[in-house]
Amino acid sequence: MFIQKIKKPKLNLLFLLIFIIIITHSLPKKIFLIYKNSFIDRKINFAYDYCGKSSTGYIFNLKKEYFFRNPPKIINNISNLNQYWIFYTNKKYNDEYIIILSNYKDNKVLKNLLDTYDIVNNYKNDCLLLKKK
Amino acid sequence: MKEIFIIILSVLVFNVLLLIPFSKIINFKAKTVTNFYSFLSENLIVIFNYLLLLTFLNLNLKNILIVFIISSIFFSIIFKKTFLQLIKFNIFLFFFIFIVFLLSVDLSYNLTLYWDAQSMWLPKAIMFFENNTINDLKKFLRPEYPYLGSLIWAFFWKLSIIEYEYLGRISYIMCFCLSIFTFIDLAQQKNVSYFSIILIFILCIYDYWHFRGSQEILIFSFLLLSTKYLYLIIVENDLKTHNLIFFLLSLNLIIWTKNEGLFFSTFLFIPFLGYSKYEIKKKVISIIIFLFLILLRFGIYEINDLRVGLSPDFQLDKIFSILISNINLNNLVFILKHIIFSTIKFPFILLSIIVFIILILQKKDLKKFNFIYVYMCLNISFIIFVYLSSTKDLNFMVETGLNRLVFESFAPILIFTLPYIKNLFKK
Repeated sequence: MFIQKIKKPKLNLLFLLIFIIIITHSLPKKIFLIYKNSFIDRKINFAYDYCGKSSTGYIFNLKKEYFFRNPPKIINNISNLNQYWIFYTNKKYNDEYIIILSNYKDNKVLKNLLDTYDIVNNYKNDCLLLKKK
Repeated sequence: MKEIFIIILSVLVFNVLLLIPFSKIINFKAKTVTNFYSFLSENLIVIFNYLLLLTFLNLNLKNILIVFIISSIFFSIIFKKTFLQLIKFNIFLFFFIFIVFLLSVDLSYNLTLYWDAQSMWLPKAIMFFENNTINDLKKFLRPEYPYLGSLIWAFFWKLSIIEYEYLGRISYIMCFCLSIFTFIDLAQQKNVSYFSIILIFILCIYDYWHFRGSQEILIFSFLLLSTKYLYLIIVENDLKTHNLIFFLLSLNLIIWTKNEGLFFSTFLFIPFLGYSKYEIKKKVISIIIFLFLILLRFGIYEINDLRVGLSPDFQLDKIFSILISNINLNNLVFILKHIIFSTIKFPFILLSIIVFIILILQKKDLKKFNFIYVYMCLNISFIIFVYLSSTKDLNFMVETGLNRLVFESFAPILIFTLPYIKNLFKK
């Protein structure tokens, strides 16, 4: 009944608009990339910078590669956000592991930490994961 | 392909939830569903208010979900006829699901969260997701902020098959789409042009920028829903009690989404008092209910030992002295200039203004929109007041917040396009 009422030019306009939405938002490409990349890979590769201003991608990568019972302690620039949300839990952080991110340049603090911690993951000397000895 | 399948499944599950006739408890006299999208939006308003009510009882999300499922079964049985009528395949439902799915694909690819979402809204959503109650809000940044957005996020996240946070944000897309679909419903036409106009609006408004976990899109949607009821009450003179109830309930959603929502809802309520033709008794009852809703918002925070306040960016005791010291021509011009820039940035505002100018040139009767003029005057004055009375740097505040404030609060301006849409249908 409804379909019978439809006049063809109007129907064409409707399909054209659906097509425009699909193309302007690159939906076929996005469906392909969702298919090729897991949820966490998309967070690492597309959503955030890897090891730069916020280094959120690096933390997501560590989350993927290591098993943390509690979120590790994150040492970051003061002007940066609290990034514990990445672990999707409100559990308090545990200092068994420490993540040091690229924009934290205090070498003195790092030197002191290396007395009690080992570097277990190092990305270009900019983003580090430390584990208690 | 697994994730695409999960997105489809989540969209379907969320839609089934919207089909449960919760709103029949208010609009019980209606025997059949004549207006599909209006019915869905009424369900949405009741469901969100119901979720809020359950949090007041200090229930955690797990218990809220149990109570909600039991209530859903109860309502489906009680209003079996309506429910069966709704779940039958129809082109309106199919079209709605299709559009929500398309936008959900865009959401699931982008995934970036905005600063506010990372620092405030997501941690609160995680709090609900981990089965804490509103009592625990005090442990988070800005405990004085309302939590409805985080609650909805966590609720739909919990309802999803896989625990991906973005599945919870699909509910924001549904809310946005439903507000647009219901708004176009005011043209009271159901033909293929109706769907085309919906798509044009979505093209003008949708951008992932609004779905990065911040709450502006919810305020935008709830304001549009409230404006719809206000239009029915004032312009169409449809003075049925259920319109008034849904209007007040949608104002309540605005109050519980963001602090500025308290002001936006008041700005809509004032023209309601001035222009609606309800008898005095009903208006007085409406005032009492509206004041009760505002008191409830602060009362719940007081009872749960949360900080009661609006924003740490303002010092309420010094607000007028700061305002007076900031009032000067340069600052006013600076704010107005940025408001104009923001209106150009969002095509829906520009579109509404262009249509409004066309209507003036055509000498159409525009007095029926008096309630929107009142709202817009109050709203723009509020924006200027907010920026002039802040203790923070004006440049920083305007550059980081004004766009979002203009986007969310200008939603009712879309009503100007309505006579034009009606004309299109006539042709």
